[in-house]
Amino acid sequence: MKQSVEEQIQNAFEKWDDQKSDIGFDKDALWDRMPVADEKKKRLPWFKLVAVAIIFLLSSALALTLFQKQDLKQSHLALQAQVETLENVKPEIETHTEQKIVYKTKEVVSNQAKEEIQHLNKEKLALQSQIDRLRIKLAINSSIQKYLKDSIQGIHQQYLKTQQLFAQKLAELKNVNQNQALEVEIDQEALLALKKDIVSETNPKQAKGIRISFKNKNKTKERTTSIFQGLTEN
Amino acid sequence: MKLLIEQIKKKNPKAQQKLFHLYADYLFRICYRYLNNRELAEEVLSQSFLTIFNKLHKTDISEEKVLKAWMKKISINNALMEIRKKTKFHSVELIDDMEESEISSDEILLENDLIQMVLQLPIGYRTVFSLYVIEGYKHEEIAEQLNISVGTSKSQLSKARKSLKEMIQKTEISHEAIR
Repeated sequence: MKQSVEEQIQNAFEKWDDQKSDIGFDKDALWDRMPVADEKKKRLPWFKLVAVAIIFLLSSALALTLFQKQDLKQSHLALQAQVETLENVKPEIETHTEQKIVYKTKEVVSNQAKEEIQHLNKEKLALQSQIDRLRIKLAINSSIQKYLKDSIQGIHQQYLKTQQLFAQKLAELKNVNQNQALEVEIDQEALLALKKDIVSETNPKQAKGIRISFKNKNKTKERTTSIFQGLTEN
Repeated sequence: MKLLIEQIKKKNPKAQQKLFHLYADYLFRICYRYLNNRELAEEVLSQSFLTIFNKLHKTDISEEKVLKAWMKKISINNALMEIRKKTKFHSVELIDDMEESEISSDEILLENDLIQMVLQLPIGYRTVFSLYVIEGYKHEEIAEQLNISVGTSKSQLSKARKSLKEMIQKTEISHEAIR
């Protein structure tokens, strides 16, 4: 009876495939060579991973701290430099501040000054008006003075004219008297003294010092002339 | 096993190693059957396991039977890819009916002899014969897998059968001589 060889072959291979016996290749070596095994080897246990993570974090923290420290140091240096710069600039700033204060003070004084100026202006106006009044008075006085001066001059001229006239009259009288044998003696000193007080009140005692004596050589009677009436009566 | 599959899906290395140790021999034999070369078989086995580990979580496989069949298919496909790289199939499409018929014998042959006979076949014959006879693929599927024509697949199968017949005849003659 013919047997199907192909069926036998199929069964033989199926049996062979399922054999439990080792076919003779190194499974462990092949497993180790497989990339999946490499991945497995690369995989670390969780605690190692945690340890690595902690170490990494600590290292990062340390690095960060060092970096911050360095940064702080640099910042500190920069701040120090800034402080020094500011200290150098400080006096100028203070001066500036002082200037401001002075400015403010001036403002306050200015207000007071304004009031004072107003007050002074008022005073000035008052003084100005007073000066004007005084000027007017001065002008009036000046004109009065001029007027008086003119009056004095006029009086003086009148006096000189009077004196001249008087002298002329005396001379005329003398000539007349001489011609008529009348001699007139005039006390010159007394007359000069009289000159000073000619306007003022005549002192009776001084009047007594003036002595005018008439001598009539013709033996005619004496006559009083109107010109000497005031003098002799006083 | 379900737990193991779940763990493999989660890419647990220990589970992967366990699966490898459970099925490495089985899959190695399949690869070796196609490649007839230990080093290549190991390489393809390694690639197959990587494919299994990387793609298992995308499947809904939860039973061992299904997993085994899936892993076998992956291993065969990887072996065929390797064969495709290295083998040029001769396209001889004239086949007579005699050569296409199944091999039969009056005797029950020893399993080891049969396995050795198949393994002695040239790579092209062996590949098509294994796919057709052992795995139950159709010529169209074989043609698609090996990127050859259906005629080429048929001719390779025919030649494989012819070679095997010759080998079986020789074996029968030697058996008779022993008797």
